[in-house]
Amino acid sequence: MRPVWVTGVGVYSAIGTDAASFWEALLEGRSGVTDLTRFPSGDMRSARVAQCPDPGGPRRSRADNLALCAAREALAQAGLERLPEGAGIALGAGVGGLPESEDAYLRVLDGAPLSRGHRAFTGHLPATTADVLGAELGGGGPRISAANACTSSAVAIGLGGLWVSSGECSCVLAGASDALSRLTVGGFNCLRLVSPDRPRPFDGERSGMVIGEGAAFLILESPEAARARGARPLAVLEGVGLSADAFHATAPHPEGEGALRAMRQALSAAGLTPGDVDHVNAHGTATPANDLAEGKALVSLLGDRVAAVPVTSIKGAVGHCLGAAGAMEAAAVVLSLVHQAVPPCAGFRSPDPAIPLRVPNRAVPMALRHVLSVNLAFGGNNAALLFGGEP
Amino acid sequence: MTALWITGTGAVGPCGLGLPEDVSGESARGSRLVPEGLPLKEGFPAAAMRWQDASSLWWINAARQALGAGGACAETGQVVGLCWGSNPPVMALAEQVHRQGFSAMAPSHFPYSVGNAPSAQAGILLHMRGLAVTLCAKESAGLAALAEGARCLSAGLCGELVAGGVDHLDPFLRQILRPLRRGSGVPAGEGAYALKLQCARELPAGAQARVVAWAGLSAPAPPHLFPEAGPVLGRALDSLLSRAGWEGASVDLAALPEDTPVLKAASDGLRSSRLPAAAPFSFQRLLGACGASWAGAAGLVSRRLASGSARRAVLLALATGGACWAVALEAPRAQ
Repeated sequence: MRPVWVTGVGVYSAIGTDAASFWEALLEGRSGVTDLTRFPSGDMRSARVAQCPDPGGPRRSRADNLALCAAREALAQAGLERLPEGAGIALGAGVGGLPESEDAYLRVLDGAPLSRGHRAFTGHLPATTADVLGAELGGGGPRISAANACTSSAVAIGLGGLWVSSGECSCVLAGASDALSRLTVGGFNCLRLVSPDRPRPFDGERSGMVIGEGAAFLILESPEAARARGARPLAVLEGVGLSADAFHATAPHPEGEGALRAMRQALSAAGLTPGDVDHVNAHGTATPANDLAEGKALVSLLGDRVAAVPVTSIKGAVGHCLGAAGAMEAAAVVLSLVHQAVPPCAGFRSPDPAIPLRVPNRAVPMALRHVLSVNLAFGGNNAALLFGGEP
Repeated sequence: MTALWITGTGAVGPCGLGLPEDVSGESARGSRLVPEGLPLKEGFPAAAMRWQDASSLWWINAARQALGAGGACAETGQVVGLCWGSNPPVMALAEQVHRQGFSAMAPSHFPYSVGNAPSAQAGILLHMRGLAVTLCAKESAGLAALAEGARCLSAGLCGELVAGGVDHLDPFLRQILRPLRRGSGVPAGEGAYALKLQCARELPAGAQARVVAWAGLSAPAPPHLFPEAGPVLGRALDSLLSRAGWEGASVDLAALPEDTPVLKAASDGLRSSRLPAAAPFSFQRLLGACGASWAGAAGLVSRRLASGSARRAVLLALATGGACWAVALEAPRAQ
């Protein structure tokens, strides 16, 4: 894969509403986990979530407004006012306008006519946010929304990277937004995957995930196009790996077999080996099954370097942002490469003997050249993105 | 030099299992929407099917047809396009919460509310362990999936894959889409359509068409409206012909969007001005207008190309919100 420059990054999260404050909070190990106030939690087992401040904006869905905040920041950092003509938009689909659609549907179930909900229901389709971004920020190139559950935005960044590296377009806005909804918060509750406390990824006493919300976007550019306008790279997207476990509807392969294939594929695409990996930003949901499977895959990948390579997860800080998780983590990786530091795994206290990874509980300043960002999803969907430092 | 080939097709649509023989005549008059829970062909354990939603059932079935008797290899991938995807599990869960609270949500329903449920289920049941990408590109989704599948193959992300689309038009979506469809276009459709794509140097067995080029672009439009169609379709055609290295006059079959009378007029204008030798390929009155049906159109066009009744074909799809996808297909022995 021909290298793709990352020239901008934007974030809107529960711990910071721009990339700088997000990074500062990550380094400090702060957690954005709080009690749900967006809608009544009713009889949920756990109402703990990582909730963003209101992004404001006109009468659009919350997911659209979150996306616009982060996308505009990414554009500004890249030195762009709007997307250049021909630029693509690769969005990781989350629930999109579902929270607003849920509100309207609940009114219908209470007897309101369906026709009154049409405005809310127009945001129901997951591609709507990409269309809003196109209408507001320009572009004119390819536009897709990857609906791959928790790997959605990693897949979107990967496909956007392929667009640039294959010459389809010279600039892509890639990332995602996701908002808290009854479906997702309630759904993970009913699967008994949600922590009553806070997420503690890779910890020996981890008790589950906490659903989060937010948005993160990267500006991906060809080196030629970026150089031509005097832009410098923050990081380089070097490789993409995608795979499926073909194992279970919700559980990962117990040995992390598919995740391992995705990681190796990303390294292979970059012409690198596991020995070149300096740090891994893992999916690390803090559920017993995910962390064990992912941990086994990472132990296999890193081999005898497993005690040396720091592996962190930001879900203890921002929660599991589902469709936006991959983009949030890719943004964290880009910032790690910019600042040459690994953020702590917020919530981590004591290691799980079954997962012999080096999980830092405080920030680690270190020389970083190549960093993996890994995401796993329902259906055994796996994605790995390899980023490198400024060339 | 390697090329990309369509070597298998599968369908669960208004005409039942498999693609219809043609887009006109008896099969068109017999067109009807598929009942929910269409039974699969033999070979799947019933227990594995217990909780499948219709979209997953349809996609598994269509993908299985496309893969043919040989089935999948270990690294077979999938790229699945959705317009509205599978909505019933979402609405069922919302109703459960409304009636009895969050504790009443059915854990068995929740995984099927996720957009990638069809590809996940097909991966498990058909043993496809390669990439599994699900794309939402509204009314252009089936063609977007074909284009992105071709790109993933070209990039070496897998050696073969099944690309296509699946949409399930439930009564709720029918109602909320009615005003958006402006009442005068072709009916909204549903079903699953799959194409097996292979990357090979030599003409592979069963090749029906060669994927010559693809292009994706967009125009700004409100999410629920089509953009002004003429300019964006013209740009897409320019880009596609340029990548294929074709003259417009060399194209003899063109599938263009006819979702609404305005779109049909723009498509007719483009065909008469830029594709003078191209016969129109009107499939939407048979398969319905949705994202998935564009993958069905690509399958039907491939069949025409394989039979020798056409040599070069273009397909251009346009979605509300402004995404536009285009694919150029050629007869397998055209070179």
